Amino acid sequence: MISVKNLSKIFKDRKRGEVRAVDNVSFTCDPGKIFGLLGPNGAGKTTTLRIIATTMKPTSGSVEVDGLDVQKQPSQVRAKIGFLTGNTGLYQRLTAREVITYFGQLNGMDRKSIGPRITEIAKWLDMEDFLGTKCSKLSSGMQQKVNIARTIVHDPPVMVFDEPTVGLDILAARSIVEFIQFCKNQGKCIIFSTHIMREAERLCDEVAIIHKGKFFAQGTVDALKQVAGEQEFEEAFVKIVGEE
Amino acid sequence: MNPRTIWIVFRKEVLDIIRDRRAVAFMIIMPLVLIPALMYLISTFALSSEKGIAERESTVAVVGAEDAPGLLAYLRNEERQRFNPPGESELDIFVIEDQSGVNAFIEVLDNLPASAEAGEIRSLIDSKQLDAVLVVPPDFQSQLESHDEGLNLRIDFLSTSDRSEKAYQRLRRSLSAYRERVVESRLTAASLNAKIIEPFETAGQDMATGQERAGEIFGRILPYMIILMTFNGAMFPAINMAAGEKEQKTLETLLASPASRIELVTGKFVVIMLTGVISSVLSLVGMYYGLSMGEIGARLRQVMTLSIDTSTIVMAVLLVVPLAFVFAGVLLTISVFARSYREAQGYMGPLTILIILPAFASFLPGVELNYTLSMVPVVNVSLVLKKVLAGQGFEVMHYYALTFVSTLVIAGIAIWLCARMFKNENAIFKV
Repeated sequence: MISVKNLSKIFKDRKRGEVRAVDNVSFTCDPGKIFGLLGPNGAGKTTTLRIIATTMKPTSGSVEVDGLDVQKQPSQVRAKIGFLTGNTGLYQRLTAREVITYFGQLNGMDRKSIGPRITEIAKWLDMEDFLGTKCSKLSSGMQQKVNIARTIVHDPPVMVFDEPTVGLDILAARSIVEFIQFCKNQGKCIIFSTHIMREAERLCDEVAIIHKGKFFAQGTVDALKQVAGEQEFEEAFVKIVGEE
Repeated sequence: MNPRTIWIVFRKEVLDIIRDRRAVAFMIIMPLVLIPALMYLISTFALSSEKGIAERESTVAVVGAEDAPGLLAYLRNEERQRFNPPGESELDIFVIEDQSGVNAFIEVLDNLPASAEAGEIRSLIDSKQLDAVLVVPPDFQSQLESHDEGLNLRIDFLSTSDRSEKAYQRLRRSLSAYRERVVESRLTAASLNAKIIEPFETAGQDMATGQERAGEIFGRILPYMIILMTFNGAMFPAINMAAGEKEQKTLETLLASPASRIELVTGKFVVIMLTGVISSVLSLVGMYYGLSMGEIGARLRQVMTLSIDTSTIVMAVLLVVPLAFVFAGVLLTISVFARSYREAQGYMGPLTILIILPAFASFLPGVELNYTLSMVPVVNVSLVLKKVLAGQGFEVMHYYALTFVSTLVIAGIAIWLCARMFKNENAIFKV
């Protein structure tokens, strides 16, 4: 479903010169699977995900989503993807329903099909009470739900989560984790970045450890533990990254 | 480019704006309430202070009064004369002049000694005890009677003080009326008809209609106002629609939707253009009411017709639309380039000056439309609007068309550039 081959992204920075944010990275992710990008801040996770979501262009290498090339058919690729980041905002002057409807429409849905779809999602996420409330009046947990609803309103086959739990309280973070699990059960292809070991351990079918733009290791959590010869995943991570 | 997507973006942005109290206040309340109220207050104040000066008596002292008894008697209204101030146009609406007599508003004191120094006179005027001083040379009366040449009357006044300036004007007028009387009496003494020194008189007849006079005056001011208000009205929503989205952290999500950049940009463009056009039209309505209220309105109606026909309005609005698109392009590009709302606002000051200067073309005398100027952005709209508002739009149809088309082309380029800026990851993800 997602196939990334020899992907590199170089930024030109005035102070630091050329920065290899992503350095020759390859991986694939299939439907019904969760692929995790695990790494510290500045490792290149967000850049990789932005290239998949077509908001950034790769310097070299190729990315295909459902057989579509991100550079040649960016619009069609975006239509396949639900994109959620940890610090996404909402239009504060619009109601929850209006926000969800807007993104449904931008994804090519008509008003007739959006109505029932919102009812359905609102039931799952328990957000019927505040559909008509302006986003500025919603709590952060409620806003998170609206964000989730906006991401999946068009039922995309691919989900991209960029540190979705960052800055959330325990309960809100938990509901996000449950939501990712739910997407997996629906057979979606999920790519997910985090710097939290527990989340990766719990959710991911396959993990890539990324640091300074490079993949240091790639495989199931158990396989990575074995490679490192550690019981705890965190210990394994530190060993693999090699910064002890 | 899918028109449906553009429509979706358009509708959302309209909804966002009409729920934004600040934007609504800026677009509707300012032009419809603040502008007319301000214009009314300013014009009323100007009229009343002008009136205050006109109705106030000027206090004037004479140095060497004993040497000019005849002149003094004349100035003291012992001999009043009907007199109309010459050379004042009807259009000079702020001038209210006494018509009762030249000297009616001059109170003459003659208690200054002949030895009065300039410094002494100055301090008397500064301390408001006097408005002006007339300095009569010694033996003025006798020299006048013996037809001496080179006689000189000096008026000491302060050009920087309204009341002193007024006293100076009044004195000059009175003195020239007195001079005419002297000439008249000399001619009579020589048994000549007084008319001999005025073989003919001239009379100008203004053939301009009230409509044309209004066009002439408003044709200078309005293009500038229209362009500025269009820009002002477009500014706020444009900042909101890109820098605002960055700050709200909705931009990345919006860009991750399948809508193409050009569709997003076009949807936003149309809304920005509309807010610009609406706010300039509303400002004009506001200014119209501000000017037609009260005494100032009554005075304006005496000399001009405050009405505009439909074809003028249509031609003006049709020209403002592509200009508003150009503004939308510049503003939205800057807005998406800026990191934050605040940064975007920071760019607006210098940009406003860049717009004001060419918009000023309509004010400049002697700047006439030609093919080259019809291609210069903003300047062309300013000059063509001037003609259109003066009711001469159909006479410059070729320039109108050229201005319209060239502005439209620039608007197209602006949309394209802006869409490119929305693809520029350095601008979008700038931190």
